[in-house]
Amino acid sequence: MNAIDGTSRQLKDTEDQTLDDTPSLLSIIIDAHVPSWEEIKSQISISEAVASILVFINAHLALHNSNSVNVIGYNASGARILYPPKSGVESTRSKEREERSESVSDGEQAPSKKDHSMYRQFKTVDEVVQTELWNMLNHTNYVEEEKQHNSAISGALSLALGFINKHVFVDESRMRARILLLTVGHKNETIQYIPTMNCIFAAQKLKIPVDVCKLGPGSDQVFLQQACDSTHGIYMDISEKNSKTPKGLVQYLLSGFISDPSLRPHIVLPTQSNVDFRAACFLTKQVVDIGYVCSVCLCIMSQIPSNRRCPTCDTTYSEKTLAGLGRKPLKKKKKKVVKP
Amino acid sequence: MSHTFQATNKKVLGVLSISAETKKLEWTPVSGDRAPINVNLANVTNLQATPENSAKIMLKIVAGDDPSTFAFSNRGTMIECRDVLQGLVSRARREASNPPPSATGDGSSTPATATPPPKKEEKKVAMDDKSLLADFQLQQTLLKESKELGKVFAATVIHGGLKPEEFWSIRVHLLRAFALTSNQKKGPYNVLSTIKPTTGSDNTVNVQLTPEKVKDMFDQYPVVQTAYDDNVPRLKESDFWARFFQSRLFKKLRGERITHKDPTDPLMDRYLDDEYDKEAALAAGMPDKVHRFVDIGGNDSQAGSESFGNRPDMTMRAGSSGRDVVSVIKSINRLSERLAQKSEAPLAEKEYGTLALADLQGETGAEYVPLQVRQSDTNGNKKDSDGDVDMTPLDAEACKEYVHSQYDNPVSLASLVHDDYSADYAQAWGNVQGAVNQQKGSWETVQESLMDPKVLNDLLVVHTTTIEFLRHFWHNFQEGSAECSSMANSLAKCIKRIDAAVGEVKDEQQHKLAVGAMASVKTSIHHALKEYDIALRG
Repeated sequence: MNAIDGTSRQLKDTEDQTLDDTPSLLSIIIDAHVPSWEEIKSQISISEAVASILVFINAHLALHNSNSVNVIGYNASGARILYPPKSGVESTRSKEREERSESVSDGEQAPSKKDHSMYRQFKTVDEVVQTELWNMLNHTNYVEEEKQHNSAISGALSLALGFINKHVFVDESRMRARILLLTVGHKNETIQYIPTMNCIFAAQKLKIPVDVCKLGPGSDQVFLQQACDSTHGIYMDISEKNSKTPKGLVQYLLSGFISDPSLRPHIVLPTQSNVDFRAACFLTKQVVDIGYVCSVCLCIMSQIPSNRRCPTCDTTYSEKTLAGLGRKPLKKKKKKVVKP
Repeated sequence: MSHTFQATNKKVLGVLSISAETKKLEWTPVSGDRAPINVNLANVTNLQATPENSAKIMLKIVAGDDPSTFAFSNRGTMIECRDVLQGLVSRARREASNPPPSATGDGSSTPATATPPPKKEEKKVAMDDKSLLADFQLQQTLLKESKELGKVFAATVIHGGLKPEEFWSIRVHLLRAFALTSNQKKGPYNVLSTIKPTTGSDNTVNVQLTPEKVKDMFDQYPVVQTAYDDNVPRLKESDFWARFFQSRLFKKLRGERITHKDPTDPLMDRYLDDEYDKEAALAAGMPDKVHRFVDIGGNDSQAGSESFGNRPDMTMRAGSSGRDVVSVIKSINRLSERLAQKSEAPLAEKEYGTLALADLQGETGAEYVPLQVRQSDTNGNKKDSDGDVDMTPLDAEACKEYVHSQYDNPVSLASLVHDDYSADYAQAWGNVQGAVNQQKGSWETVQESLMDPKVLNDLLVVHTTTIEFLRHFWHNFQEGSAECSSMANSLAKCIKRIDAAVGEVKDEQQHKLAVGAMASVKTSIHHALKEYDIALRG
């Protein structure tokens, strides 16, 4: 355990975050894209994953009696908040208040299954998340969904940030917040570059760590790595590709991601040290390693736009410059051939 | 201003008049048929007076090769005449050799309407790429100015064998910026405001004066020059300045209010009146058409402020009240105007008017170019890395089935708990620990064993050189220029250079760090060379 002790780093950190009893809000974003789950069903089933997540949520709630949680699901067609339920944050709050005042009233609002062996708050969350998630999974048209390649990760992140903003910054409750993104990731998934980057910058500004746990075989999520890196979150790839397996998901979650934001400066985070900093082309949405950059608005392009104008700021590029760029290699070929 | 003295020339009594305006000395005989003598003061080469103990009281003026001698009846007159002559002669000479910017041909020149200074020979710097690239002098000054750039230049061009033209070809913008900044000239500033008398420890007042400041002062306040020219050889230079800085004139020029407590100084106060006269002359010569914006009288009659009882602001009161303040404001305004005229081509009247009115308008918002991020759906033809469209038909049924199967066996948290500690969990824990250890390692390297500054410096030089060559390579590569192959060779050399630099680091820990530090740039080179190879082949 000594390994995670990072207190030597404390001296370096200028931020003086005193350890106190501040509760924290955990926002969990769950990938609800069924085909991806189906792809990795030999390693982990949805129900197993959901069970792991619920255990993790319960653990978070158990750490402090004012800790709260927000669960968001996303698939290719969109993202939605699963918990707290739509019917109103107010009702759940009043419920919580009831519970805290220990008025044991098993009224109409009580969950259907009466299981007295379970802490009430856990139970509410567990049931709501399960029901809402199944709803979401069942009411998706997979064929339609498949036509849309853009993943709704950016949408989900926005939702989470919005929720955090409302409950932490607008309400001015003294809370810390963090986001955990649980993504499976499939091959065809393309994350929208600009919306995602905007979310990352917002999180960075609000000092909200974004953690990412990647389960599936999909391609490396460049932007998610960047998200973790710039918000001081944890990026963990536990897919087969990384010669790991998501089988022990609950263990990963509980040992890797449970650390409260207030603890983060003091411990060594199990994140990935190599971060891919590449950006995506604005035209093709592909990650590029060498490309062109608009000299006016810094828009990134992997090819010269066909209409000779910047796709973002509409700057018309000078013919001369473009002619220079367009001329691909090289006339030395002859010489090279002659040599041998 | 002219001075007249009684003086005898060759036994004939006459009147000697010295005029500051025409810079001429004129002697006209009172009687007799002697021709008058005219001497241009600028031509005077020598002035001689009889020593004090001599019985004769005579003044000899040598202009050209024709000396004329004047005898005076008493010594006081002679000394006065001599002083006046000295002042005027030196002034005339200076002006002859260095014509002042404002035409002071007539002594009543008004500064505010002074003609703009003759356009100086402005060195026009060509800003086009070609001449910038050819301007070696400019490039050298830039290298000297910017140390960073100088280092890169030394590493790549002097030691790395890059052609200087290549080096500059991608830095034309730097050259242009530098050419622009270095050609900017400083405009004039209000020099009196920068002169601040300080009280020293021995209770004496000190004023710092530099030749430049004196020159600027003469330039901006002609009255100071007049005072100086009239008095200086007579007074000691230091005395003159001491008196000047204590005088009411100084206060007035600085725009301070003169109070009765200020010491009077007959010498300096003469010029104070001069200044007032000029103002009066200026007021008399006001243009017929006053711009409505600045027409105080017009404002007055329009608003009828007096009848309404709202006393207008002091500066807005035309007439005698608050004369001091208004005159101070006027003189400062005049100075500003003069400075503005000196620094720039004078504004056309129309422009001036719009400028004055635009001052009253609120701030205009910045104009932005809207950036439109279009989310065009180009994924229809998206290809994966293999190049073929990866669209395995989705088995919707299988998915549905899978969801239902999952739905049927409900989530049980208890299922996660096994009796024995599962191998999966052990592995997971091991992985997390592994990640922590890896992170810890990288922390320690960053934190504890920072690179040796010398090693770091060496690597930095190699790194900048390599980046420079990479830049040129891609530049040439894109342009399909013939230089590309030589650049590719240079890149190959760069790899060797990096290896050599890293190899020189003997300390094991340092070596490891060095290898890590240079890894990414090496990858870049390999990538570049690979691209080059591909391009060569097909």
